[in-house]
Amino acid sequence: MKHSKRIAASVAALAVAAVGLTGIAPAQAANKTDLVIGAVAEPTTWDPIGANIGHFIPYYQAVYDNLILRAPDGSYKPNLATKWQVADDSKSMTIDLRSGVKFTDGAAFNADAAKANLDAYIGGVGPYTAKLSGTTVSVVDSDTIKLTMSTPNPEIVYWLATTGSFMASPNVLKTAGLKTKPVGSGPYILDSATVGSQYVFKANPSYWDKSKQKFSKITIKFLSDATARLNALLGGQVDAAYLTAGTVAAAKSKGKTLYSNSRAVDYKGIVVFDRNGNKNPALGDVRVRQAMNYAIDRAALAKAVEVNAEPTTQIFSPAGTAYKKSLDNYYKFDLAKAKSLMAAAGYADGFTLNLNNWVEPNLNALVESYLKAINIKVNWVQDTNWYPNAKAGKFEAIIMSIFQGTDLVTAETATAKDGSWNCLKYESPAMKKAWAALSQSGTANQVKVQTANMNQIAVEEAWFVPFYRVLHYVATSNRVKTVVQAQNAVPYLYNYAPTGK
Amino acid sequence: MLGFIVRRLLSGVLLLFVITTLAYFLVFFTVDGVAYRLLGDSATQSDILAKNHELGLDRPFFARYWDWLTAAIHGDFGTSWFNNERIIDALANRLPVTVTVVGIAILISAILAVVLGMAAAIKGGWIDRLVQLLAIAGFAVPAFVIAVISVTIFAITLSLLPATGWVPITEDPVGWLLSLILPTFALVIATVASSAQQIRSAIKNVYERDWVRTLRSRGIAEKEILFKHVLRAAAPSGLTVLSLQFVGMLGGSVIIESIFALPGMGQYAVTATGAGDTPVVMGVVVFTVVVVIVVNLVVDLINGWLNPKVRVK
Repeated sequence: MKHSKRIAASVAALAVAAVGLTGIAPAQAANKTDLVIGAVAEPTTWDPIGANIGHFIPYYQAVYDNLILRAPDGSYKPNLATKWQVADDSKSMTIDLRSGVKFTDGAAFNADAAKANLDAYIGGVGPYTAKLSGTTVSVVDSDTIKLTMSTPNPEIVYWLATTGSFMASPNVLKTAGLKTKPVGSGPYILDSATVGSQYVFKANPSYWDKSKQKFSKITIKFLSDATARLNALLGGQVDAAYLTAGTVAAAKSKGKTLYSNSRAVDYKGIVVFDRNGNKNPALGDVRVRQAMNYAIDRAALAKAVEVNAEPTTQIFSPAGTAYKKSLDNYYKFDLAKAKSLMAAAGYADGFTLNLNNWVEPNLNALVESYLKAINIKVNWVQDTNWYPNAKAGKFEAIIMSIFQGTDLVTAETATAKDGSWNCLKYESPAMKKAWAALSQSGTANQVKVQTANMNQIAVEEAWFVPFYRVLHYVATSNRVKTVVQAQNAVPYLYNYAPTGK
Repeated sequence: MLGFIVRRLLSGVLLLFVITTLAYFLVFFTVDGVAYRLLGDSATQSDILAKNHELGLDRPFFARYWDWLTAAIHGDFGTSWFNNERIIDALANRLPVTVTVVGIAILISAILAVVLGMAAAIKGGWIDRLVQLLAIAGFAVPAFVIAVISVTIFAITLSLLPATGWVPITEDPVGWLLSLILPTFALVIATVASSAQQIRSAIKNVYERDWVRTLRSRGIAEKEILFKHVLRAAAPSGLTVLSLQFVGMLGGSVIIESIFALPGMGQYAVTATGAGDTPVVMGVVVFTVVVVIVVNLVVDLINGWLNPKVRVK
């Protein structure tokens, strides 16, 4: 009896303790002078040389200002540059700089600081430093600089508005400390960082543009696991989170506000590298590649694998001018036509296609079944290093989700002979002609005309077997709102604002 | 006893050397494309070559391994290629998270397993059958399933506990405790039943020995026989089981840390391995091996203290 009472008392005490503990609600992001974001990635370095777009850019936007601001709709606005002028031949640019701006270490932002930053960036090795290579910077006066490009750079404004002009204090440029401790003039200051976990930023008290400081504190939690991000959002630990196709429905059903980025960011599909047919002779025949395009039921595939993805047969983004609506449906699903093309090419009995074992088994299974219908047998290559191996030219084709950059970026990476996604250096006569025309004069108008031409050629010659454009999803609690950003998977940091709830 | 400890430490050092050498060898020949991952899709070939040179990836195996080994002996594990964080700092931040979660889980598991195992071995009957049933259930339902279910119930539906995250104890002791409950719960539930079953078998085995019957025939109290003699004799098996569970939990924490977004060693190791961050992978290997060696050494010492025959071996 005595023992029983003691046990009962212990159980009761434990229960009270448990209730007491669990009665304390987990830290909710209740005070909306704060913003907590659940992010997919974390920065690899705070040195602006290593700045990257997509999931990485909000971190840099917290602590650094760039010269030009890119608005959500893709237009360009003044920031540290008050105005700019690009020459007609795209070979020079004059930039007027804002006066009175200081870095958080007290150093002044001026033409010398801007030049030092751009020189460091151009001379460095980073994800996009090559986009400004061959550019020299000269100081015109204390608040004016001039950029001179060795070859036309019609997209110079885009690069200065994204990764190419995050300004760090000249006192820390080229120091090892800059990699782990940013010193900029941005709206926030990095207060604490637990690498692999979270980054806390507090408002910069002397910031020049208070309209960009909508929160007194911003925390970006690095949550690489999609379910953990969803749980953090549903459990109230974060105000906004990037979602995958598999977690969108759960967030929606729990009343979270969903933002889908229809400003196309990525496309998913088969990138055929071996258009010369050196590894796989069948792929060297345009009819075979066209047959592969006709054999894919894109609408069904998109519905089965994604949420509201946009079927397409072109790789250029609707955000640019090379895009043509008609090319979204150039290869309508037509099995009979696919089979007749295979027969005409002499491959009625099919062939084996080696593809990387892509991370989505459901997508792989469907693609395999579509290709099997025209007697193409897919051999899924088990290679954990397929990405670098593809880049090194070891694959004949891969399934991949690829960033749809600006028109020139897409053209350069996918259709140029030395493009980073033209891994086996293919060049057709029509594409060669288009590049020759573009190289003669790199003006903005020429880029517009020739990238549209290249898009048409790539589709007609079936350089790729695109499936669809992938929509990107961000969900927020009712206390925060945001705006999707053109050509970026997640909203820019400036796009978040409290709702007042 | 001192000779015993020295022998164990020397074998630990040898083990550490062999495992790290093997790990470096495996990483060297399987990791590729670090520069591509660092620089992204638009990087030019010259950028890739420059980055490879910067990281020393264009150097031969033995030169890289020797540099790593000599630096590691001096306590310098380098910096991450991907986030420039010093490995030693990263491990100092992450190891306590994993060790805390796993340590508390193993402690609770040990207490519950001993109590349940003893009750099952001595009382028999329904409690014995229950422990055996729970053991099967424990094997059948992995920790991550319990984690996902408990998050859905306690964090999302009832909003009683945080779904993700880690709060340092120095920052907020209550928040720390709350952030520990669900991950620890998942690990405990998945391991306690099987441990209890093993401990039950060990106690039952000793309890049925002739010498226990002799003690009983000499009129020694049952309580004394149990706590002074039987438990001591059954302890080595129980300790071995718990030490194996601890090592298993260290591996299992990879998934638990991922589900609860805990900044521990498991998540760190997975991220680094996926990215090909060799300095981080090697740092994690070294510290994990050290933890396992220390745990085994402690268990060996306790076993040696409990059973002098072990010391002689």
